[in-house]
This record gives sequence, C-alpha cells and structure tokens, in this order.
Amino acid sequence: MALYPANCMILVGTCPGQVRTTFDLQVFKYTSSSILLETALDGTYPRFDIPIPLDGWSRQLDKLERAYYEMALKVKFHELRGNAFQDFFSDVMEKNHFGDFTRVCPWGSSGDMKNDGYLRSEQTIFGVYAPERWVDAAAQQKVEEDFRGALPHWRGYFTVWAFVHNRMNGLPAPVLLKLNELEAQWKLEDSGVRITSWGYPELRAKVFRLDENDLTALLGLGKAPSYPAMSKVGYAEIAVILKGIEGNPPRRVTRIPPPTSDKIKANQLSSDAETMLLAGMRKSKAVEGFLRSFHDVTLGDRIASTFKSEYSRLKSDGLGPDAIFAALWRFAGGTARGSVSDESAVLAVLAYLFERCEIFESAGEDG
Amino acid sequence: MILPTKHLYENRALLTSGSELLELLSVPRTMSNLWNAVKCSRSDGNPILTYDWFVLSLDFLYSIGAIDMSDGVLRRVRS
Repeated sequence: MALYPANCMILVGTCPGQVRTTFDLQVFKYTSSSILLETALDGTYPRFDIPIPLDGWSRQLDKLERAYYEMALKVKFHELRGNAFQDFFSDVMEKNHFGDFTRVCPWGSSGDMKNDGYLRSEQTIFGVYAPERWVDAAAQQKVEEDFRGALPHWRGYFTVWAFVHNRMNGLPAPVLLKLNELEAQWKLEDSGVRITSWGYPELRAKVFRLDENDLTALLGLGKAPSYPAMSKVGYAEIAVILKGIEGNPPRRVTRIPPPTSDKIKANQLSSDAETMLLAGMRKSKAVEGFLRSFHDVTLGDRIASTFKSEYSRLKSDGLGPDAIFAALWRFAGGTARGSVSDESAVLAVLAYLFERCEIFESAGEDG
Repeated sequence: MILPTKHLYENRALLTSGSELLELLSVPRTMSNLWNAVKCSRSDGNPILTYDWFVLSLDFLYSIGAIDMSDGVLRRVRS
C-alpha cells in the first residue's frame, strides 16, 4: 500500500465511466465530476476495493444548466415556509446522508420532542424555523424553546444543535447573539455541546452535492436547458410557450409605467439570471420571427401586456430583482414543463421581452 | 392594431395592410377579386394576410371614409 501525505486529497477518477479504487468509507468524499479521496492521518491510502458507478453522478454541468438549478433552488427557498420548508430540508438531508439522517415526525401527544431531524454520524439535532414573516424576537424565542425543549429528551445523544432557517441573506444579529449566549451557557454545564446555524449557503452546498437525477427530483424539475438545447429551439417550442402564457391572465390590472431601455447589470440581476437571459437571447430572434409570421397579429402585444402587468404587480409587492425574475420565469411556465426544449423556449421568450423593455427597468434614458 | 407596435410589425399593421388594399382598389373590385389580388401580391414571401385581417383592414378603410361599397363592388372614395 502506498503512502501519501496525511490528510491530502488524491484525484483517482473522473466521470463518466467507472472507477475501481480502494477507499475507506469514512474518509471518502466526492465532487460532482471526480472522486477525491482524503488520506488517513497516518498517510495510508484507503483499504477497500469497490467499483464506483459514475453514470448516475453529476456530469459537469454547463454554465446555463448550473444557473438554472441555482435559480430553481432560490425559488424554492423564497417560496417554502413552515412544514413545507422542513420537508424540503429533510429531503435534502436524506438524499445526502442516506441511512444516516432520520426525518422526525410528530407523534401523538409527544409531538416531535423538539427534534426536526437527526444526523446520527455527527450526533446533530436540527431545529427548523421558516416562518411566513420573520420577526427577530419570535426567532430568538424559537431558538430558546427548541434547544431547551430538546435537552430533556435527547441529551446524551447529540453534541451539536443546528438551527436551520430560511433566510437567504444571513441571520439577524439578535438571533446570532441568542445562539452564542445559549452555547456559552451550556458549555459551562456540558462542554461537548455546540450550537450552530444553517441557512441558505449550507443547504445550497448540500443540494449541489447531489447527482443530477436527485437534484431534479428534489427541485421538482425536468432536466435543465443547456447551451446545445438552446440552439435547437424553434417555432414549435416557442408556440407552445406563448400559447401557455396567453392563457395566464394578469392577476391585477395596474398602471403600467412607460417601457424604457434596460440593461442586465442596471437591474442588479444575479449572475445566474444573467446567464439564463444571455442564453435566451441566442433565440430571441426566433421569438421575433415567430410573432412576425403567426396568424394572430395581436399575440405579441397581448403577451407583452400580460408580462408588463405581472412585472408591475411583482415590483409593487416589493420583491427584489432576482425574485421578480424567478417569478416571471415561473409565470412563463418555467420549472413546470419538464422538457428541456420547453424550458429553453421559456428562456427565449423571457429574453425577447427583456430586450424589448417589457420587463425590468432601464439603465438610463427612457426608450 | 392600426399602427405598428414593438410586437406588431409595420407590414402587419392595419395602416399598412389598408394602404395595400387601397392601392389594389385603383380599379373597383368585388370582395373575391380583391382577396385574390391580395394573395397574389403577398405570394412573394411577405407575411400572409389572413382573411379576418383582410376584412378588418377593409373595415378600417371604410371607417375612415377611404372606400365604399355598392352593388357588391368595392371602390375608392374620391375626395
């Protein structure tokens, strides 16, 4: 057996394909496109010889596919609350830690005993909190109640208590302070207990460890559109999308501000939204060509009017640029169709409307 | 509909299709004759004018007093 520097990472294979290697299950890690093995502390290479099928694991996603899944995850995080968020968290953990993570459900008068999930190998108990509306005082109270409530039942079975929340832009300082105070207090009584928090970055890291099949199942999607798929978008796919949009009436008629010429950066859209729009722009000419030749000459104006109304409604609701983009994407049928060609056509339609200033704001003068 | 918009291109607006019909009515025509003439003039690859848009264009021309119809024949109104 060869010796390597202790705790170093060794690349032993890349997908697609199959790799036979030796490894110790407890030290092995993998990325989406390769297998990296971490050596043991004494520098020895792993011991078992097991074939590793790589077909089901994530091949290297192109930039558009990655942006698509990132946007879909943001949509989930933005929309899920309460039990739905807890179920999503449990799904993520079960797929990542099969056989190791246990989902906990309330049981009769015992309830869930303040345990929203248990990761046995890391002796971690999770408390999940995803309210409809975040209030710092309520969150602080939730932290205190869940941690203290878990202790009588689970003390001795956990060394880490993790507060899982649905805030995308970080934990408010008062809540972080409460977590630190609790940890400091309980370290006096039980030095082995650690308190931590998990938010969007932590769950995102877990989600993108999954292979593509698990990823699409988790996010409730079909396969992401890729750059090659975008090149195949034609009138047939665009017609399906536009007819679907036509059937979605605006939810409220509002005063529509005059359209202005706009640029992606001026709207502070994320790199994921930018990637999706730029990919869609490759086929926005096809949308224009379709509308030029479609027998119903007013379809383009009706589609634009529908989207402008929806955009105004979303903006008046106080949503940020990415949240608006994600909502318009779903409004156009994105994430609900399941076929790569349809998803690609949705991007083309969004990009067409974006270029013609029907959605989002201008960078400077009115057009 | 009458004027071009961002999504209704100039060659499909009523103003454009109306002017096309007006030119074809340099001589009085029946509806069928005019419709055939339009189809021929658009057979060179221009976007197809559907029959309902053809009728709407005639409605537009009639509403602005540019054409008239009598005894089944359409003709320009001389101002």
